[in-house]
Amino acid sequence: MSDLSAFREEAEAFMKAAAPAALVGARKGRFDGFWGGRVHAGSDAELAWRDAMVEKGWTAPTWPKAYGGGGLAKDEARIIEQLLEELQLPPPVVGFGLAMIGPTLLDYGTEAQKSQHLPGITRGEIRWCQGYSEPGAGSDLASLSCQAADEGDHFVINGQKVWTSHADKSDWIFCLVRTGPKEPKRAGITFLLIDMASPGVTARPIPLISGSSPFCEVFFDEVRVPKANVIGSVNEGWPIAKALLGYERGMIGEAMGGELVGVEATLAKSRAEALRAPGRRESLARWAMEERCFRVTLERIAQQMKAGQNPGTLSSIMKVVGSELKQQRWQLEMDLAGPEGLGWSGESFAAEDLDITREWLRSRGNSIEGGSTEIQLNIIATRVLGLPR
Amino acid sequence: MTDSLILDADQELLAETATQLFRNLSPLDRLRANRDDRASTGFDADLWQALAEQGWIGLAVTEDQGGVGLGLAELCLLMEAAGRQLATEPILGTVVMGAPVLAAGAKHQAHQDLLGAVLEGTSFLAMPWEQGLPLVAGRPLNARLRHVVDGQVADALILSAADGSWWCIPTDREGLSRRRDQRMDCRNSASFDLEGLIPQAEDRLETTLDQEAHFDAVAVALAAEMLGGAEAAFEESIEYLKTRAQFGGPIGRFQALQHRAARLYIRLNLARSAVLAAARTSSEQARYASLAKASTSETFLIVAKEAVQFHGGIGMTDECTIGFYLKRAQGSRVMGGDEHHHRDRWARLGGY
Ligand SMILES: Cc1cc2nc3c(=O)[nH]c(=O)nc-3n(C[C@H](O)[C@H](O)[C@H](O)COP(=O)(O)OP(=O)(O)OC[C@H]3O[C@@H](n4cnc5c(N)ncnc54)[C@H](O)[C@@H]3O)c2cc1C
Repeated sequence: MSDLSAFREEAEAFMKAAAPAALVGARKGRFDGFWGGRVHAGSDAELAWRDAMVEKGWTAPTWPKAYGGGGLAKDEARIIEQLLEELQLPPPVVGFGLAMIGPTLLDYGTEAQKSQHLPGITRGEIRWCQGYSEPGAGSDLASLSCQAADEGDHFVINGQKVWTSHADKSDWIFCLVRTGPKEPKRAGITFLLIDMASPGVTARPIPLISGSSPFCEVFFDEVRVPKANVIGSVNEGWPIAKALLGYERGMIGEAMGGELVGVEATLAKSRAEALRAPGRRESLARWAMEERCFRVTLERIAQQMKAGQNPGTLSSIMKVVGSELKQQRWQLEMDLAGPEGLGWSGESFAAEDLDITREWLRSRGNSIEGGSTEIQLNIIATRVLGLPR
Repeated sequence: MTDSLILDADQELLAETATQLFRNLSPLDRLRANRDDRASTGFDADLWQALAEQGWIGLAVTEDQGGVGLGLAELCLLMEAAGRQLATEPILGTVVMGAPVLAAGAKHQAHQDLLGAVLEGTSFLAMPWEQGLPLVAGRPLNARLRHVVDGQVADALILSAADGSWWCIPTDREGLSRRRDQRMDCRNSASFDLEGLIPQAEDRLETTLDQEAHFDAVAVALAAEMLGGAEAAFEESIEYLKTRAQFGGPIGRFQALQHRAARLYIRLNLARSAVLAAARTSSEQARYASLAKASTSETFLIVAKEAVQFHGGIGMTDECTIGFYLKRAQGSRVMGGDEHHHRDRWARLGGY
């Protein structure tokens, strides 16, 4: 038996024994699970599952053991991921800590910063949010103007962030702030970690078209932040900010690959009647075929990376395709639901149909968040195809 | 799927060799010459000899039958290279459609001899799209076989019968007449009228090769050819966007065109994934074949139409090669099922 299959057996036995009964079969998506934080909404089962996996270091399988990770090779980490999928278990911890700032700290953080922040992420104790966008800086992120004034051993922050997902539930924020002049705009940006409990930080939720309020405005009013919280160097935050965006797009792409699997088969069964209406059947087939192409492409990227090839240009298209597939999926679900997809709340609509409505509305954001579709197309046209700017 | 989706070193070499061969021996200008010379075979005899000598004709024929013993993955590399140059050599008819069936079922001498001549490059095969013909030894057969790819030079037709069997009928048989098609897409084909043709018992090939599986393999190989054509048309268009200047600079700086080009690039990558998967999968072969043919049917046509638009007026001229891709895109799209046909099949195979 190869080492890998021995590892798989061992991991499977452990996970089967450790998983609380309430969570088996409760998996929703690759990024649906216990979000953690100082103030959290975790159930007893979620906490027990978290604790068991933390013990092994498997909330962050590939991170070094010294920071609470599992120290596993990529192959082994993939097995953990596959087992979670097979056993239909939610990931023990999810969030921007594991997906975005953690990997960035591993690449760019000092020893002290890694020791300070990574263990709290792996244990789901500290929840992170992303302070990039501002009212005046969206797609043109580098024009941001949230000010950080140099006051010796610390900065004083004044300004505003917006669209900050989950800021009201987060403990720390990784922020881009302006420490230098506005021109050239990329040269005066610093990557800074800020404790949301600092005096002068306020987060205010913004209601969305889907009715929930997952993102916030964040205001900084004379907030003191130690200089030790700078990642990299002052005024040299832009490359780090972009590296983190790479992780973010990776996360968005991966999340989509997983959550779309099985949608076709489920709809074919549950909406058999509606699928007989003109055009519907071909719409579903068309969507499912595009989804299959997308999934095969993800697999191709994974195989190329494993073979030591650089998938480079392939990953640039994943964000665009993934977000559109997700949007088309919810459009299909809405069309097949017909008038049952028009509910907002109350008892006269089925709970599943109410979910469809909300997801359909929420999905419009997929082509805006994490770099809009138009921005991705600009990137493909100029950097991949080499068209002139 | 867990099958390998990346080319191994041998396949890389194969792809590179094929691409070079067609680039050197099959310039696009030939299309015009072949089209205008109606007496010609419609392809280049020297290139066909080169293909025979290098073993390409027997690529998917087993070694004990004198072939190279490779499979669909490699056939697709050959077809993609040919598709890039819109080659008109009878690869689809002879190498992809005919030879694997003949080789599988050639047990007696006449079929062995024919196979030998095919592999040497001196005889040709073709297989009509029509399936389920009522073939029975000794019973007169009447049928119209329309637009049989590479039929203009075929020495024998490989026919799929209603009872699942395969037959090999020489084209000089009594009761068979042939008319060469003059097509807009420069693909060679011929239409056959069978009037009282008598199939002989020896015409029947001794093989149980599954008909649907073989037609699927053909669809995948054709998809690979279309992918090659689409990529070539796309690359030519990107070059044009970079060089054609209007309003004081290259037109490729206009975002309206950039985004359309980026969209085509995305489609091409997805279509490539579909073709790779279909050529290599060990499960759901039928569904993947439909995926590949649907993706490339849609993609090639969109790419070709956009390519003409990107070229402006010059794109409408016969002198510009881009129009040949447009014609080929539609020509290949309607053979072996277009995207609507294959979406319908995909759904049926998925149980809805
Ligand atoms: C659900 C959701 C969650 C989010 N979470 C976070 C978060 O946690 N943290 C955070 O910092 N931000 C977050 N964002 C913000 C997101 O990153 C921005 O919305 C995004 O970068 C776009 O910026 P904008 O909203 O200012 O739109 P704008 O930049 O004003 O764009 C408006 C429109 O113009 C187009 N456009 C802009 N520039 C160009 C161009 N050069 N060429 C062509 N078209 C162009 C855009 O594509 C868009 O269609 C979130 C957004 C959403 C929807």
